[in-house]
Amino acid sequence: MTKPLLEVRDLVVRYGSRGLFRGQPRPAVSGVSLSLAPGQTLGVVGESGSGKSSLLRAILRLVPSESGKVVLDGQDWLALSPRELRRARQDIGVVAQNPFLSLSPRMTIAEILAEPLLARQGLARRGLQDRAAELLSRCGLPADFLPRRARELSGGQAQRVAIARALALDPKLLVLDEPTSALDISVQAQILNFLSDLKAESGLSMLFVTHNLKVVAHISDHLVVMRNGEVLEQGTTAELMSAPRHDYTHRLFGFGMRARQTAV
Amino acid sequence: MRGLHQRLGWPGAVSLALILIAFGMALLAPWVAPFPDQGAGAPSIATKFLPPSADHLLGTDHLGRDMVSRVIYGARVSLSSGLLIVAFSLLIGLPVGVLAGYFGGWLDEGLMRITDVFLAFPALLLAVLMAAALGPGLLNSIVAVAVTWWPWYARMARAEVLALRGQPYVEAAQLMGVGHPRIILRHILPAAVRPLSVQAALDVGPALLTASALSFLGLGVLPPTADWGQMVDAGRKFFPERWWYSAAPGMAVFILALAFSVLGDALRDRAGGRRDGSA
Amino acid sequence: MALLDIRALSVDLPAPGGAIHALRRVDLTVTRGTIHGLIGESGCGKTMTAMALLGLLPRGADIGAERFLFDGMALRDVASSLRGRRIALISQDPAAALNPVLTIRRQIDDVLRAHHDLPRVARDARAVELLAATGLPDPARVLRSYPHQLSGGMQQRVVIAQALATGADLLIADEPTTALDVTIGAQVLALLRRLVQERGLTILMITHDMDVVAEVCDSATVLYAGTSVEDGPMSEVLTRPRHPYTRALLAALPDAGPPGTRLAAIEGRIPPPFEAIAGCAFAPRCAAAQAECRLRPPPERQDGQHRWTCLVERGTDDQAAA
Repeated sequence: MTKPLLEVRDLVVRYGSRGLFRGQPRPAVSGVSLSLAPGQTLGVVGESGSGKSSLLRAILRLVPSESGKVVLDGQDWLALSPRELRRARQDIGVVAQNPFLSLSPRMTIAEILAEPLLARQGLARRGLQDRAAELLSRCGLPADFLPRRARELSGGQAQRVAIARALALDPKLLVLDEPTSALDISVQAQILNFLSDLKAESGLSMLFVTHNLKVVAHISDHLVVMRNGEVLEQGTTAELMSAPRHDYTHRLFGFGMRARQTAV
Repeated sequence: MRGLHQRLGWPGAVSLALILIAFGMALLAPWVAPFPDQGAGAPSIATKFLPPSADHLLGTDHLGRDMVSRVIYGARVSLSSGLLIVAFSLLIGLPVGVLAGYFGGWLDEGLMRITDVFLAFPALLLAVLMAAALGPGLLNSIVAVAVTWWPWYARMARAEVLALRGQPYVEAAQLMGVGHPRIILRHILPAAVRPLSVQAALDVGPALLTASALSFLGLGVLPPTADWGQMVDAGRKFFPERWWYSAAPGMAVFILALAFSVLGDALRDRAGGRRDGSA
Repeated sequence: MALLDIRALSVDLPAPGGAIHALRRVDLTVTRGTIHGLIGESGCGKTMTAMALLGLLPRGADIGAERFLFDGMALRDVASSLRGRRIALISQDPAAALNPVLTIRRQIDDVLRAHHDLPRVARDARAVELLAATGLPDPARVLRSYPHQLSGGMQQRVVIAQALATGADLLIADEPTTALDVTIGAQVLALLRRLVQERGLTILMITHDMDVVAEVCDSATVLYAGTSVEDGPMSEVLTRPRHPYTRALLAALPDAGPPGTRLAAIEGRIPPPFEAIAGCAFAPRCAAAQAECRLRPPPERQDGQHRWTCLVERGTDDQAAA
């Protein structure tokens, strides 16, 4: 078995309690462990309050962790100094839920795509435009989008730009935070297909966080179901889909048209 | 300028026109003032205390100087002190607020406690104390008012930055390993400047009023330079018999302060009605 | 007689540089005592249809229709007077629909007072009864609460109780579960189903979510670019879709095939609402489109209660869930 790319062990995230005499609040993430093998996609699914967002933000070090360990590519991620973290973050590409919020409204697509390239020190400023155009075409968008702004694009196109930006520095890990939840079904399908292609072509490792079990089941090799800050169950997608151990997982799957059809 | 009144509304457009006219007259004072030498301070004892007439629309003062010319020359000092006060205050307040809001933690605590100290004093009292300590003079009075003014911009900038800090696109830049200076300059400042500039426009009027108040108290520019506040003060001794002496600069202060305030409101309505980032 | 009977409804909104065709041609028939789904992606006109039913179209909107009837009455004239009396809206975001500074009692009581001439005690009893009907435990306590003290699912139940308080016989539910978690949303849908059975309500369920349609709808209409393209019993529409757009939409669902397989994405984008369309609105994105599809409106086809508009005739055996 290969060494995991990302490993989370007994991670605890607790948001600070305000006021001296308040008791400690319940942790948002309490002792979560998971691991992601290189080239694999790990889906984390949970409803609101499940702790999936806190887990994600803790892994990205946007919120501090109380205890536990995060190892990315052999590096003790939580021990990095702010300076080291800044560089190390370039190994992770992040795609957020709503591209119109995650892409700056003031910048052109060219400027948006140049930003991560400029952030990596030692990268030549020359050829930025070409590199940006190359990224766009890799994501199935024409180069004439470069001078436009995100709000002039459709939701699907803007999300592709966000993915292009996340891929700009050839990250080891692509983190997707509800990347299709703001999109229409037909556009969601385009984005999911595109992510599948990426995975097949470049062996990219992905951490896919969402509330939609059906979306994440489609693309993930492994699934983690979270509830109340804990991992309810985890396993391969096939295992979880065919024989969920928990009634809760079953309910997440067992709603809607497929369930009805199979019941008939 | 087509459609200006549609964008700002009639009161806003009229205010803007008044302000532009005032600036134009201040800039071109030597050419637009009927008696430029008197405006600059040269006495003309033969014509002293003339009531308003065709020759002297606003009368003359105790040294026989034409009040129209004096008010126009006074606009130079009053307007520039209003603008400079706001500019100085922004110069201090904006960086303080941006740094406090962006980095948070102990830096935020420290900077905000300092602004609180300044906010705790009554503004005019602090300005008077400062001006008295620094001695009279235009620059000193500007600095004195700016000292009481910047904490407001610091507070406002901090609030704007705190809101922007949580924006997904700012977070995205941070996650790409973009450095703090670039995030501040590229993402935070351009978005924060718009509401702050509206507030600054609103504040030129009150700043001008405060500067006039200081020179009224004898803490501003020194004669023979014309300044509205100082002119009102000088005319006070001859009030109400020679009412025009105080009334002319007093009306000028009133009209301009009002114009800035109406324009600021119009700008705020416009900024509020549009989505952030449409600039 | 159908409660809602709409034929060829169109809505043009005035705009600088030509009208916006918010609705191009919508046929919609909703039978009393059923839940009818109005399915479509963003920009298809489903919310605009709801606004037309509620008499909430923007000023200057140009409404055209061959028939636009609610319970036999011309909706164009009476929509705004029926709103809140016979037609009520359940919106997507219950937190926004409730006033944060008023108690639930006050907010339900306001509705009851507007519709019934009852003494205070009777209104309170009625409020408790309505909240209980929406499956809220301890209605008396809910009445004393403020909206922020309730969870999203509870808030949506309060909004539903408010709609019941109006005594309306048609509820327009605009994405009522989109803001809720899957498991909570399923409970709210079950509640709506029960209310239809117990109280003889009629619900127009506006949604983009096929799972919601499958879960609660008796019948459904599919909208595309302001046009109704397919209509029929839910099981027919979802399992034997006839219109190419409905087929494509169903094939694009992430659970349409086994995990990891490619989904059938629909290439291209919906025609902009200011564009005039001569033929079938879906033709530019349709795999089966012929030259003629772009030239003239597609004919209406019918198979039992299942209706759709398409030039190309197809057998019934092939289906999207392949």
